[in-house]
Amino acid sequence: MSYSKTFLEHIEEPRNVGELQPPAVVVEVVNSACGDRIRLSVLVEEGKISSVKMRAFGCAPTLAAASVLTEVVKGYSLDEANVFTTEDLVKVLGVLPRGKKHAADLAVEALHTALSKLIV
Amino acid sequence: MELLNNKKRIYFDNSATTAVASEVVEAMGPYFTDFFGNASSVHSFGQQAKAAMDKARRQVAALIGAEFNEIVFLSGGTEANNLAIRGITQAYQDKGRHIITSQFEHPAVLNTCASLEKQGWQVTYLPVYENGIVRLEDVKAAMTDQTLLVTLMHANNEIGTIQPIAEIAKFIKEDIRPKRKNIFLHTDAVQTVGKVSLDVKSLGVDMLSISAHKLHAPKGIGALYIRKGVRIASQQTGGHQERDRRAGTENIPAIVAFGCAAELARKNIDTYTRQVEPLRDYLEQQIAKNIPDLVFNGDHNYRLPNIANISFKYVDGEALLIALDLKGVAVSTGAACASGSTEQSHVLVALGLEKDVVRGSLRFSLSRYNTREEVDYLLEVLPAVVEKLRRISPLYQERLKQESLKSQIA
Repeated sequence: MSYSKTFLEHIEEPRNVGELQPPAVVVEVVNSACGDRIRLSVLVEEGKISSVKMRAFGCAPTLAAASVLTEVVKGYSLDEANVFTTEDLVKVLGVLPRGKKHAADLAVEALHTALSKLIV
Repeated sequence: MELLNNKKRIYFDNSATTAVASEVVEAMGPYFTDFFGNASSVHSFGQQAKAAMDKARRQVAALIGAEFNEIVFLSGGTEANNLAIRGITQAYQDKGRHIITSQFEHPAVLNTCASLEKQGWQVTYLPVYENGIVRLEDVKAAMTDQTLLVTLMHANNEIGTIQPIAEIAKFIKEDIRPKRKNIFLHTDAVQTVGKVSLDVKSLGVDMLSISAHKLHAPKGIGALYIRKGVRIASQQTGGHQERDRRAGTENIPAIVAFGCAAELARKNIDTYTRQVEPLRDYLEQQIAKNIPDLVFNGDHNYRLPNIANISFKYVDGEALLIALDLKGVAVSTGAACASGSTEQSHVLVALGLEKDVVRGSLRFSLSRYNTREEVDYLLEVLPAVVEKLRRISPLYQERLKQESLKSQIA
């Protein structure tokens, strides 16, 4: 199995590593089966995602998924972010090895969890 | 991988497989084209093949102190372990139905034992403790009047710890065999042969598995040593090759290669103590000096000279492996994540290590072809790679927070 160029670039140089301060929302989601975790910070200003940061622990796909997610959703409106799916993320990541889709699921779950906190 | 182009590539995964030595490639070449005969044929082509096979058998026998007829060529370590375990239990099934093995054997042994369990055999899986070594007293305690086979690896493939096989053999010979003739000791020596000088007679085993591709020969060839006088039931039906113990036309080029590699290994065995072991120790010492939060896995006194197994806490071994691969360094890990559940190394789990220690484990396995420059390159890139992954890791951030709280209280 070979990973995509994008995937490898994000492993070599993960993007937007870190955490944002309030009023940004910070959430942490964990895959209970394998222990992988993503901590995502999302700042929304004027109805748009203005800043995203992440930290991640887990296998390479989890790290790459979190890193790619931060780049993709920056600038999204809340509506766009709300309908963003695992499949959308996988398209950017390139093909994931069999059994690794859960990594993209986890990243998208982090995004949607953060959005739900914003709206409430 | 595109990113790898024009980059150094360094191989520290010699427990998985090794590069075929150039002498070995050269030796086997003519047996594809010029001396391609079937060793069972009577004509000169066949006799040439037979002579080459005889020479290889002598070379392999010499490496482990066996006799010519005690070597059975077959496809590799997995087949050797299968033939040993299935062959002996089938041949002596009326003499006992109990097997003793350990929790951290190679799957070729564990899954073979599991399949025999389904056929009604009793199997005892001995613990290996935190140091990764089976205890003789546990073997003694597990022994019943039904025990037919003890099968224990000589050295573990992930942490390299060497098992007290000679002591176990002595116990069987002196305490059990006088009472019960039909008790056998098999060792899977796939990781050991060629790295540590090994003699089947002084070791005292009845069967010993070897894989050629771990000692700079090609894949698809190996051998089982079967002590003279020990019967095994052949596991496939066919011709009379290998004295009726392994049917099928012999793979002459691979056998020639194996023989050549065995001779090279015998001549180079001191290289492991003189060159590879100091290099491995240097690698470990430098890593310990430059990277915090490590766990060194497995006993450090009784182990192979070429393996280092180190856990890097707060990072995932597989992520570390891929990040190192991008720098051109190949290693392996005990953490393989599949379908959202991390399939942890049964070896490291058997040592009783914490989950996150298992998760962050890397195995560096060297060969006689690795150099100090290669280790220095690893030492140049590894600290930054670990640091980068830790910087991303929320677990590591927690640790840093706790540390700063502690220092504030202090």
